[in-house]
Amino acid sequence: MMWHVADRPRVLTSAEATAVVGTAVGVRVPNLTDAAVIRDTDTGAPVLAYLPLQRNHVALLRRHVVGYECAAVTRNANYSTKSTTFGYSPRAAINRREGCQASAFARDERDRQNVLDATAVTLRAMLALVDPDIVDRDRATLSTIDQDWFLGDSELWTSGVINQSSVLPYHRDRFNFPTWSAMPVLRRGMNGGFLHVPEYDLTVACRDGWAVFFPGHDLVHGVTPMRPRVPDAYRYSIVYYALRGMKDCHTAAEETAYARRRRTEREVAMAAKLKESP
Amino acid sequence: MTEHVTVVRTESVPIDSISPHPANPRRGDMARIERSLREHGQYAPLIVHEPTGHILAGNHRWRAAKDKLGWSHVDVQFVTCTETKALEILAMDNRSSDDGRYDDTELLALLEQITDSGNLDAAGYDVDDLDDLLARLEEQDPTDDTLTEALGIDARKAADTYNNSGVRSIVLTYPEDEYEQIVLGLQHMCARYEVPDFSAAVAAMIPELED
Repeated sequence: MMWHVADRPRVLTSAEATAVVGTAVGVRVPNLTDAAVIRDTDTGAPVLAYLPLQRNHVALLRRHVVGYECAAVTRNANYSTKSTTFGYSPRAAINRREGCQASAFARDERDRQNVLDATAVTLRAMLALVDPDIVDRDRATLSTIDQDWFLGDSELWTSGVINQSSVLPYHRDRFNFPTWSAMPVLRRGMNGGFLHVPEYDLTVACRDGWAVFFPGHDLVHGVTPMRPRVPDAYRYSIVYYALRGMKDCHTAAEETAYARRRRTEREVAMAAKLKESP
Repeated sequence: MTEHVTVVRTESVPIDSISPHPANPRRGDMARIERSLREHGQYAPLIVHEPTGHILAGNHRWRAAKDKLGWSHVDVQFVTCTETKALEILAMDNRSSDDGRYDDTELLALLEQITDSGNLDAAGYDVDDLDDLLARLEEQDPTDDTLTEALGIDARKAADTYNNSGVRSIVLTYPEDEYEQIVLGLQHMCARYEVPDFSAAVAAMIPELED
């Protein structure tokens, strides 16, 4: 794998970038189209990497992702996306999830999840190749997460989301650890759908079979509008990240036992409450 | 007997000495034709009906050369034939390319060869075309189990992993009075089987019922 290293100046402060959060990304022309590692001109710190996956891995990923129909999810009053989360989910009692557990996708779509796990390992290897310090640093940041909750043997990502031809306004991934995310893209017949990072005015082409690596928790980012060139056009982005909620998870076996106990306590409490009510 | 056209001569002529055929119904991709002429020049002559000076093949190349590139001369192959035959050629020259198809595998090989050694843009394609072609071929490719093997993917591993952490729930529905009784009963079961939760109590109770 070949790539070039390019320095790029910061054009917006983090606070200035915050001002665009929630707004739609305009039509833009990609200015990052080749394999590259982008560093901040002043600090020399890496801010983003853009690399192609091995073609046989792309073929495998395509076979297991394209055609999967993601559910429509309403994000807020202004927009909804078609997306599906995969990997692991933290406790969320409000969703009847009493313990950390595998996502519904991981339970019900084993073959697909299996390939996504293998892809996580591949993505980690790619990131380690361009900057092993990022991997080491992120692993240290994630050291509080039990090994049961990482995708494959990646040790970097606990979870992910498949976005199906979804245009996303500017946002930060605020539920994630402050570590690097990875985002391979599969697409055909679709114009646009580029990733824009306003703090460095980077518009990443997001070619079919290529992956973007960047700290999505820190850097504001969004997706440019898409326009299909053919009726069956698609663009799937598969985002790998580490959810902050996973830091509180014990081992999978302990989580299951914990969830069962919590559920029992809730039913007992509810029965008692009903008994007391007139 | 079929009447064939006769090629009279091929030469470079002033661009305004010939004219587009007034009956040409084709609307060509002017931008791509202009790019081709700009990149490669004129590598094939226009076909012109000598008696009228009308272009039978290459109307859009002539337009791009004149209006977009400002050329003063173009290469022309003059032919003679009847007016009727000229119209047939005008129509057939367009029609003959309409139903053409590509062998995608061979097209991909060609474009990859061009990418490696030249300029994809000069071939009238861009990376989106190349990516789309590759994606389409991958979609058409039958499932290849050796891929998972080649990539070192062990399907059993994910099954084990997600069996361990994949929790499923059974939701039972009762009216409130009955619900209280069921909860009370399950609490008794927990005590009887010395287990900490209802799930474990039911799991312990079922084998006993089966006996």
